[in-house]
Amino acid sequence: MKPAGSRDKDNFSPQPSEALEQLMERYGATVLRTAYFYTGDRHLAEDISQETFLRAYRSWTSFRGESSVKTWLTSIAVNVCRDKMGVRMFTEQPADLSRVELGRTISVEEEALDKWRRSEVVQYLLRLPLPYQEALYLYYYLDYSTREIAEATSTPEGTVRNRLHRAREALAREMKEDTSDDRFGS
Amino acid sequence: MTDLDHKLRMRLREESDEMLFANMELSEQTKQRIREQTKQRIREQAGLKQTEMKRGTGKMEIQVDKQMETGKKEMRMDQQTEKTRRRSLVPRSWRLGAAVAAVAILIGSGYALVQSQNQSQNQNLAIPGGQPSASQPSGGTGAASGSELSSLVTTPLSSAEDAKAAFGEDLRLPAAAPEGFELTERVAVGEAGQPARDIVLTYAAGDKTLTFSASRMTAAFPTDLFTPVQVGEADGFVFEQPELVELYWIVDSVQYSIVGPVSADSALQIAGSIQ
Repeated sequence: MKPAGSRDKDNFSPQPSEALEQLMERYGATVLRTAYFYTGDRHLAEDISQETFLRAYRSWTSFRGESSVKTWLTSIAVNVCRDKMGVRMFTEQPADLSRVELGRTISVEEEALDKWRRSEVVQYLLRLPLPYQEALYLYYYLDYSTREIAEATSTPEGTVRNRLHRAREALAREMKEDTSDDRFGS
Repeated sequence: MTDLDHKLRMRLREESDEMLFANMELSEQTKQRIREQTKQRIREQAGLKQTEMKRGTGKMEIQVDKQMETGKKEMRMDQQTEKTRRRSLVPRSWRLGAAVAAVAILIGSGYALVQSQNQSQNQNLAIPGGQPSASQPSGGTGAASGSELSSLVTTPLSSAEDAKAAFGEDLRLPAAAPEGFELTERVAVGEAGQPARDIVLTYAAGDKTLTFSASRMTAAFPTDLFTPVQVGEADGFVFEQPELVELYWIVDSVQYSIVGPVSADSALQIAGSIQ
C-alpha cells in the first residue's frame, strides 16, 4: 500500500531550492529514465529532465501533496515527454530490435547483445505499440495505479484499464510466439 | 496484486534497469544547469520586485531588501547543498551486478511465466474491461478528475445544453441512452476557465458501463489492432473483443468514442444515432 501523499511531501523541504536538490537526488535517475523510455534519445532525455525539474521547482509550493512526490514528479516528466513527442507518440509503430539498438544505446558488445536476446520481458515490450509500452511502463515500472495513469495521460480510466489489459495480452502474445519458435529450446 | 503481476513487475524493472537504463543517472552537468536556471529565476523575480517596489514607499523598499536577502540565502543554500551532493556521488556499479544476478534467476522461470500469463489472460477475459488485479481506486470509468497531477477540472453537467455550452455548439451527442442502459453521469473535463476539452457520458446497465466521449485531444489508439469502419460520413476505427468494444471516429476535429460491453454493430448503431 502506498503511503499517504501528504506524509510523503512532508519528507521534503518546504523551500523550493532545497526541495529541488532532494528531488534531483532521489528521483533524478527515475525522471531521466522515464524521459529516455519515451524518447530513446539520451540528449533529449536530459533536456526533458531539466524541463521537468524546473517545472517542479516552480510549482513546488502549490503542490498540495495529494499524490506521492514521485508520482507527481514523474507525471510532470510524462507530460513533458508527451508534449515533445506530439503526435509521434500515437502514430509511430514499433520497429524491431534495430530500433532499440540504435535509439536506446544498447552496447554492441556481444555479451550485451546476448543478454538482450535472453531478456524475458523488455525485448518483447519494445515491440509493442507505444501506447501499450507506456501503459506497461507506468503501471509496472513506475508503480502507478490506473487512476494515476489516467490523470497523468489525460485519458479516461476505463480506457487505461482496457489498454493495460490489451497491452498485457499483446506482451504475452509476443512472448508466446517467440516460445513457439523454440526460443526456449522446447 | 497477483503473483503473476508481481513477477512481471519485478522482471520488467530488473531488465529495464539493466538493459535500457544501465548506469543512467542524472548527470552533475544537467543538475548544475537546472540550479543555474533556478538561480536565474530567483534573480529575475527579485529584480522585478525591486523595480516595482522602488516606485512605492520606504516600507516597501525594506521588504525588497528582505526578499533579496531571501534570494541570496537560497543561493547560498544551493551552493552548500551542491558541495554535499558532490561528496555523495559514488559509483553505483553494485546495482548492475545485482540486476544481472536477478535476471539470471528470473530467466530460469521464463517459460513458466508465459504459461501463467496465458492463464491470466483467460481470467481477465472474464472481467468486463479486463481490469488489472492491482488495487484500484473507486471511480469507475470516469475521466481524470481535477487533481493537481493533470490540472484538469471535472464539472458535472445537468443537460445536453449544458454540455454544448461547455464544449461548443459543434458537439454531437447521443439522442437517447443505448438500449438497456441508463445515463448515470454527464461531465465536462478541462482546464479551469477554459472551454471543456472533453465531454464524457457514462451509461450503466447493472454492473456494466458504457462510455461515450467527445474530445478535442488527438486520437490516441494503436492503429494496428483497429479495423477501419465508416461512421456516417466519417472514418472510424473499431476494436472488438469478447467483452468490450472501442469505437473511435472524428468529426470536425472532435474525436468521438464509444467504449463498452456491446457488439461492434451496436456501437456503430449508437454512433449513427448521434446528432
